[in-house]
Formats: sequence, C-alpha cells, structure tokens
Amino acid sequence: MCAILQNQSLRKYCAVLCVAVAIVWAIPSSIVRAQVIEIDIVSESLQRVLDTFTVTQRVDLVYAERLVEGRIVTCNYAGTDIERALACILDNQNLQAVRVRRRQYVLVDTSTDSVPNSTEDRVRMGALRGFVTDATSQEILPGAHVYLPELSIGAISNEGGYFAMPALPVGQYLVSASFLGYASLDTLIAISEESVMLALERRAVESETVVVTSDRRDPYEVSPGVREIPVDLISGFPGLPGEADLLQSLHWLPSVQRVRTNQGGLVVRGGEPDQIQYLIDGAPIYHMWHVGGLLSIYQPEVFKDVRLYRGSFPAEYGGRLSAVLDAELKDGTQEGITGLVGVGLFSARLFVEGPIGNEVSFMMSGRRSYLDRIIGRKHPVDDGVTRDTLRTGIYLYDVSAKLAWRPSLQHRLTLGVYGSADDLDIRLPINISRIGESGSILPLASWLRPSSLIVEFDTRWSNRLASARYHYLYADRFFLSATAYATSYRAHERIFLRPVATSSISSKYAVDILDMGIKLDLDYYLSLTHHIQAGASIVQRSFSSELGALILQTNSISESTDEESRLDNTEIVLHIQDTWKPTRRLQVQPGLRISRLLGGNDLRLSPRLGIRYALDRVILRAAAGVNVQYLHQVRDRYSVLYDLIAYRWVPASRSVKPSQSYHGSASGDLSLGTNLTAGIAMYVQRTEGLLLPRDEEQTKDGLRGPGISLAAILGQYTRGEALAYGLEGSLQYERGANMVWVSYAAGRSRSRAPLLGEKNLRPTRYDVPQRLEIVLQRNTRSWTYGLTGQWRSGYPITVPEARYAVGDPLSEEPRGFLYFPKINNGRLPPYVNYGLQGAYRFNAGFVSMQVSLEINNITFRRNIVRQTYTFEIPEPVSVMSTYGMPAYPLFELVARF
Amino acid sequence: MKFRYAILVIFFLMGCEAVHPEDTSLLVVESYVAAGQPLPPLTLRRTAPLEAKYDLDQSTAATGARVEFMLQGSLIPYTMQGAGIYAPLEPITAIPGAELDLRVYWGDHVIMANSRVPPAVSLDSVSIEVSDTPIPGLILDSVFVDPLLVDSLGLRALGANAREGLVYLVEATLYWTDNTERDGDDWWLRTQLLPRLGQSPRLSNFFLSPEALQRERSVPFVNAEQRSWSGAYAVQVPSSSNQLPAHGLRISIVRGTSAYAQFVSGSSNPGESEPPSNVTGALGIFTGLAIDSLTIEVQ
Repeated sequence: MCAILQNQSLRKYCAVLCVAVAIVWAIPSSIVRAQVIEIDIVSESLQRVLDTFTVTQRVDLVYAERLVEGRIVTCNYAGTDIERALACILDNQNLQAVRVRRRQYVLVDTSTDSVPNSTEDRVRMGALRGFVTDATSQEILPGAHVYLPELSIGAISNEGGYFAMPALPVGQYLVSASFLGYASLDTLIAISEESVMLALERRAVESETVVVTSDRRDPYEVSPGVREIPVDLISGFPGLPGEADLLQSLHWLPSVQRVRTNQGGLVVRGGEPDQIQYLIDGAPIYHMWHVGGLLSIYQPEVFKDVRLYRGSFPAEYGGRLSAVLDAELKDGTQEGITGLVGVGLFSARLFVEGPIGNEVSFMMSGRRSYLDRIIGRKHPVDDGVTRDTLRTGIYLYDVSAKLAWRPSLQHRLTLGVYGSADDLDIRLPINISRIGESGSILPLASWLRPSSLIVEFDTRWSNRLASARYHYLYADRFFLSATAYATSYRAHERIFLRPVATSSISSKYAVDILDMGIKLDLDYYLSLTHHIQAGASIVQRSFSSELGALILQTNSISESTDEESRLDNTEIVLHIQDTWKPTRRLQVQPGLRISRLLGGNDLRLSPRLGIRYALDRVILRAAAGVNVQYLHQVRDRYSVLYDLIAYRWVPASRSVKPSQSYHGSASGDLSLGTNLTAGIAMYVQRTEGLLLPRDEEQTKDGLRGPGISLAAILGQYTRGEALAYGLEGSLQYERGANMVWVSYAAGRSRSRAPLLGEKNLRPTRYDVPQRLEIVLQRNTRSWTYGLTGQWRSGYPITVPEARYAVGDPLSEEPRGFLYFPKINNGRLPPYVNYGLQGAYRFNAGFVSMQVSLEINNITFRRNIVRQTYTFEIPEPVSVMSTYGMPAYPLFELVARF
Repeated sequence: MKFRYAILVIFFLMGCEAVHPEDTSLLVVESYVAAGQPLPPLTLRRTAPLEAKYDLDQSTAATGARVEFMLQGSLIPYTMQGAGIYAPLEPITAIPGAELDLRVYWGDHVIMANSRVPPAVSLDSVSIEVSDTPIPGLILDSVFVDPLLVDSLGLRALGANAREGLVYLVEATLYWTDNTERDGDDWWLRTQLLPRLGQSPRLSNFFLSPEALQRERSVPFVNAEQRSWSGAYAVQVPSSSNQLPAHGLRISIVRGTSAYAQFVSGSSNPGESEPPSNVTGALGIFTGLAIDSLTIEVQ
C-alpha cells in the first residue's frame, strides 16, 4: 500500500504505521502463549472449579450464579485448548461456554434450546441492538454508550442513535446505557429479534441549567482524540456576550483557545483558526462569528449533540488539520410544544420545538439583535440647505429549523436549514468625533447632520445551509446514512468615502462560496469485536470573488479596478475504519481516508490509528494520524478598500498544494471516586504546506492592493511548516451543589517559512505557552453563582532590538527605523481576568424565568492587548500600550415555557 | 522521583520564552549613486539601543572601515572624510548603465552589495492646476477606526481630533521621456509632490496620493516617447474667502532599481518593520538611481 505513495515522507510514515498496526495485531498472540492445562477433578463444586480455572488460565467467564449453584463436576483433561478444557468441565451439565472474544466466554444453559445437529450451533446466537433516545422528547441520541457490565462489552450509538452487539449468546443481560447529561439507565434485556429502545432521562441536579458531564462507570468512551462537549455545563459558564453561546464557551476546555481576529476565531492545540472544520448536520459552515467575533452563530439550545475532534479524527472526518466541531440540530421533541425566549444585552432569541402528529417533530429557532430597532435604520437630515438620509443599520440574526420524520424504526429522514447573517449599513458624516459636545457619551444627534464629507459602509455576510439526512436500518448489522447538503457563504463589502468634496473612493467587493455535497456512510457490525464503518463522499466547491473600485482623486485624476476571480474544485473521499475490541480492556481503531481532487493527480492517503486501554479507574488512549486540508484561508494584506470582513478561501489545485499534518497524542482519564475526575493529554503535530504571510507584520495601510487574482493573493504568501506540542490537564469536582472546573494547557506552536530563509521555528501569532482557567460554581434550585478566573501567557509580539537611521534622496533628513530581526520574539504581559456570575430562577405561571448577571474583569485589571513604538530622531524609543476592556456587566433574561 | 522532577522542569520550561539579547550593533549603509552625478559619499552608521538617543554624529558613526567600491569593474578608492562619511578622493561621474559593487570591512564584519545605475531621467514639463475655490475636506484622520482601540472602549478611536475644514486642491502633472527601451531592465518610478506648507491635511492627502511608486512600464504613455503621472494634494485654508496660500512645491521623479522600490515601499511602517535591505550583512541601502526635481512657487 505504501509503495503507491509519491511523497517520500508520507511513504515513510505509512511504513511506520503499518509496522505499528502489525505489532498491535501481534501483541495478544505473542503475550498469551499456549500453556498446558491439566485438570484432574472428581466430584468438585462447579463454581469452585470455574473460579480456579478463570484465575489460573486468565480467562473471563461470565455466567449467572443460578446456573452453577449446587452442581458437581468431574473432569480429567490435559492439553492446551481452553475450549476443550471448559467442555470437559461442563460435560453433562447442559451448559456450554460460548466464546465471545479472545479469552472471554459466556456460560449458557443449553437445556432450554433445541439440540442442533452441529456442535458449533449448539447455542443460539443473537444480537443486542436498538436505539438510544431521550425519554422525554424521543430524540435519538448519537454517541450514547451501551454497555454490558458482565461481559465488559460496549457499543456507541451512531449518528442515527443505533447500536448493535451481534454474535451474543441468546439470554438475558444487564445493560447499562449512558449519555452525556443524562442519567444512566440500568436494565435487564433479553436478546430477541426486535430492536430495543433505551430511553434516557435528562439528569437534572439541583440546577436546571447544569448537567453532570459524564458517567465514569462505562469505560467505553469514544475514540481517542474525541472530546464530547458538555454543552449544558460549559454554556452555563460566563462569556463575553453575556448570552448563551456555544463557541464562546469552548475556551473553557483546555485544548481550545479563543483568539482575536477581525472575524473571531478559535484555535485548537496551537493550530490556526482556518484549521477547524465546523459542521452542522453534516454540512460545512464557513463563517461562525458575528460582529467581528463578539458572539458565534451557535445557540446551545438549538443543538442536541456537539463533538469536538482534536488532532486524530475518526476516518469519516477530514479536510481540516487541527479539529472538527460536529454539531447536530435538535429533531424537536415529541412531548409537546415547548420553547424558550431570551433577552440579552445585544439580542433576543426564541426557540420552539414540538410534535406534528406521531411521526413528525419540528424545531425552529431565531435570534436577532435589536440595536437598530432602538436607534433606527434611516435618518432623514436637513439643515435648510442640504437634505440627506443617513443610515445606522446594524443587525445580525440566526435562524434554524428542522423537520424530522420517523415512520418506523428502520427509517428516519430529517431536513434541516440554518442561516445567519450580519448586516452593517452605515452612512454617516466622516467626522463623528463630537463626543462630549452635547454632554453625553454617544451624541447621536450630533452625528446625524448633513455633510459633504461622507462615509458609507454597506457590508453584509451570510451563511445558508440546507441538509437532508436519511438513516436506514437495512438489517441488524447494516445501518446506512445518506446526507445531501448545500451550503453557501456570501459576503459583500461596499465602501463609499468622500474625504474631500471633489474626491471620492468607492469600492465593491464580493466573495461567494458554494459547497454541494453527497455523503454515504455505512455501519457494519461484523462481530462483537469488529465494527466496520465505511463511506464515500463527493463535494463540489465553487469560490468566486469580484472587485470593483473607483478612486476619484480630482476631477481629472482617477483610477479604477474591475476584477473577477473564480476557482472550483471537486473532492472525492473514501474512508474505512474498524473499531476492534480484541480484549475487554483494549480497543484498537485503525482507519484510512483516501482523498483526491478531480482532475488532479495528487492522491492523498490519511491513515489513522487509535488505541484505548481501560483499567478500572484509568482510561489510557493514544492516537496518530495524517490530516489533509484542501483549502487555504487568505486575505489581501495591503488594501483598505477590500477584504475587510470577507476572508477568501483558495482551494487546492495543481498550482496550490494542500497542507498536511501528522498528529500524535496520548491521554489518560482518571476517576477518583464519584466526585472527582481528572484528565491529562499530550500531543504533537507537525504541519507542512501551510501558506504563511511573506511579511508577517504587513498591515493594510494603502488604498490599492495587488488585486484579487490568485497570483496576486498567493504572491503575498509563501509555503511554510509548523510544529505544535503541548500538555493539557483538566479537573472536575462535584459535590452536592458545588462544582469546581479547572483546565490547564501548556504548549508551544511554532512555524517557519524555509523559502524566506528562516532556519529556526518561531512562535506563531497564537502561541500561548501556558493557560489556566478555573470556574467555581454553586447551584441551588433557585440560584447559581460563581467565580471564574482566566490566566494565560500574553500573545507573541515582534519586538525591535535596535534603532537606526537612513537617508532618502527625497528627504532632507535621515529617517529613523526600528530593527526587527526576528518575528514574534517577544510577548505581551500575561492576561488575567476574574469574573463573577449570578443567576436567579423563578416561576411565573407556566413560565420558568431566569435572570443572569455577569461582571467581567472585576479587578479592573488593565490587560495590555497591543504595543506600538513611537520615536523621533534623536529621542529614545517609547512604547505605547493599548489596553483591554475594563470591568463590564452583562445580563440576560430567559423564559422557558 | 527524578523522573517526576524532570517532568516538572520540562513543564516549567515550556512556559519560558527564550529571548537572548544579541549584539545589536549592526552596520547601516546608505548610498544612492545617481546617474550622471559624481559618485556620492557612502555613509556608514551603527545601530543603537532603543533606550538610547540616536544622534547623527560621532556617537553613531562607523569609523575605521575599509571600503572597496567598484564602478564598472574599476576600483574607486574611498576614504573616511567625516564621522562615518566615506567618499572618493576624486570626483568621478556615475554613468548610466554602470555596474556597482561594494564591499566594506568593518571590524569582523564584511558587507557586500551591488546595483546598477539606471538611465538618467528628467522632467520634460510640469503643469499645475488649482481649484477655483476652497472646498470641504477632512483635516485629520477620523475614518480608520482601530478595532483594538474600540475593543478597549477607547472613544478616541472614533475620531477625536478629526476636523472638517476647507482645502484647495492642487493638481500637478509630470511629463518625462522614457529612454529605457534599450536598457532591458525593469525600472521603478517614484514620483512625489512635496508642498512646503506649515500644516498639511493628512487624511485628505492619504486619498489624494501626492506620491506614487510604480513600475515605469505600467505608467501610460501620453505620446510616442513621453509618459506622465498626475498627483494632487490639499492646502488647508481657514475660510472660504481665503486665497490659496503661496507656497513652494518640490516636484521630484526618481528612477530606481527594484531594491530601491522595496526599500521605499517597506519604509511605510517604521514602527512595525524595517525596510528590506539589499546589503548583505548590514542594514540600509546601496543602489543606483536617476533623479530629477524642480521647485516652483504655487500661488
């Protein structure tokens, strides 16, 4: 397989991976060597014999005590075959030891079965299969754990909520089902022909808003690298917008970091914001943030399941280097019409869900800001000479809806739509600086006046997504999922500026992205120890952008630009993965993802391997994998006329190679009693084929840029490589109404551009060596109050090391310069923020109300967010600091009905 | 136990930023060899620490250097004739098209640079137009809202100090002959209008572009031989009844190498990055260029 790879390093990596897989396969057989079994017993207690046998032969033997009580056995056996030895022990007892997997057997009573002809078929085999659902809303629950404690065997429900454990001896089993935020369900289930429904109750503790994260009884956690997000828990933590916001809340996880860009963003484990793939109902989303990153498009109440895959993804995921955030919209409850109304500092939101008959349910939600409703969108102004209409249209919205139809257990069809947009429509006099003239902080009236010097911004971006998903239980062991989607991102920027009465600048810039894809996934439950997942997908991506600009300097001097750019690519992906459970403690998950661009000759293989080993209180995981990203996010770095809010994506092609990362991680989760859980993880990731800016410090400071052609954009970037590594730890303590959450991350993220002569790796712009976050919270029936603390290293900055002066033939005096020999060679002071939060809940008729208040930066710390340098020859250089936000309160009112 | 300590040490070190102070005393080279002009002096200075004053005198001069200047393959002896000023013993004219090669030995430092003298350039003619009456114009910046300042509720970011006023627009058009056709090199052209005014409306001038840097071959021809460029600048007046203040205007044109163009374009943010240098082992610039300028009185 490795021989067909063209890339030498990839070939080397593949070879190493193959050897590793071979070793893993070989481990059980090499460790467990055949040993001689000698049994010579006469009229002994069967129970005692089996106890001795399991200890001496290191086998798991599962049986009901009633089967062996009072039985006396006689056996004489010498040999190396465990199954023959067990057959000897159980001879004439109407009992049979049925092998479940290596060195694990179930004792079944054969007296109740018809006696078959074949010895191998003496025991009837069956499958435990079914769906995990929410007991109240009847929503399916993907990712739930179903576990047979007696056999130490488990399964995880797939995206259709289905699970299957085939090849089990027919009988009754104790089944434990659990899901994040739900109470565990322990029940006795007899294997039959029918699928079972495991309905889990939401686990409400003292508070309605906080739900316990996970149940440690089940060691069958999900794959290595996966982080199930305790949505209900972390969305209860304070955040900047003061409103429930899923992405804002993610930074409380140790591997996720909130970063400042003009678009907002998250980075995972030292990556870049564009290295995270955001999926809603299986469809990608390109823009996740409102108001330059103030809040995200993710409202927590809209989603039923959110998973963050870090570094080593399962084979079905790919296309990004550092993480995948897979969120699924709620289907809607079958219980009855319920909903929520929330009013926050910036926006109001509404959420409604309910049934439409017995087979159909719906969910609808919407959020909209209301600043424009308060200050108005259009303002006619008239000073007796000039009439004008000024505009202050600023708003954002999110809408989502889903329809779920489930005519039977075998079929489920969902249709989901999602939309979000920001609109900034402003026409104002350029000079709005008369602050204080009217005695108020925001003298709107002084702004709204006719003026010959005008600034207009009409910028708007929007996401549109439509997704149809069909789940089909073809047979007990076959589960099919088909997804078709279309998702678009559109942004336009229109600027008009008249700084001088006879001069003006107008520009129009638009970016359009349209993705259309089809995905087919198959779950095949081969045996108790093998679960095969395979699939194929094809996605067509179209990227287009337009730029038109007219710079009218005087009546006779003008300059215009009119450009168009269009790029397309089609990506085909095949993936396969086996979840193999050779022993009750060990799980191995090898996978392979094959991707290729249509019309290209660059076939990429992305092998993945995950290993999990469960001890009684500790779960150890290790994972390694290769990820490929076929998109690069770029922007013009020169012109102030375009690319202000709309980043462009450049798809990989013959001339633009995809970037590729090699990731390895190891982690451990420790359960210390019922109240305390802790986790630790280490990771390393090497990335190649990145596009790094040629001039990291270049800022938009000119009217004209190189344009929007691919060559013009790529000319501002060069290929680079990166290395990220780190250590993460988290701790959660819960006792009664009290909760403590601590997350710590230490890591480095470095990059270099060899083509620019950089020999050594240097810190990336988001390199944060250490980060510590703490939440202390108390939840009672009516109150939630708590204290939060955030501490992190400051962001890297480029610091000058010397100063000098050089003359210019057009200057009379030499001009001073600072010497910046290294990029990101310094660092801002540490960032510290302490916050307080409080929420009070009460009932008003049939409505449950909650009033929340948060105060950030209660210590009034002046966090430095930027440093600049000023100097004039011959005076010494002085440093100017820009400070972060002072203490600020945020509130929200939520009504649930 | 040792292993545990080792982990702790590694853990601690991960949080440390290893910044080693370096010897920042680098050599700074400055020399513009103009076509048709005598070879200019070569200025050698040293960099200085940030916290120190930077006087253009003996304190920053690089003395005791050995300069090897080659003009079209001939060694021109240069000697120090002032604090960090090295000049040829005899006046020698830099002919257009000449190859330039420089080596400087200063202590343990050896620096190298090379360039070429472009064809000479001269302003054939200039035309000036002034608006009849003053018109409204923005005097200071209030447009470029700094998002970082807004985040920090720095209301000054919304344009404190911004002011609307009245300005005269002065438009100048330069004409020159393009004689580079046979040369084959890709020359850059820098044009500049520099009014001698006490106050200059910064933002208005940002949009009016009284200065340009572009490839010469991208500048349109106005006839078979001549190219032209037009620029404008604003002159602030207190009221609409004021006449255009009489002022001097220097009009310049520079034909330069791509190294010169990179140096000029990279000089726009001296607080964020230094201009790219074409000198190996030092900062600064060593380049050939052609220059012409004239100063007129506008009234």
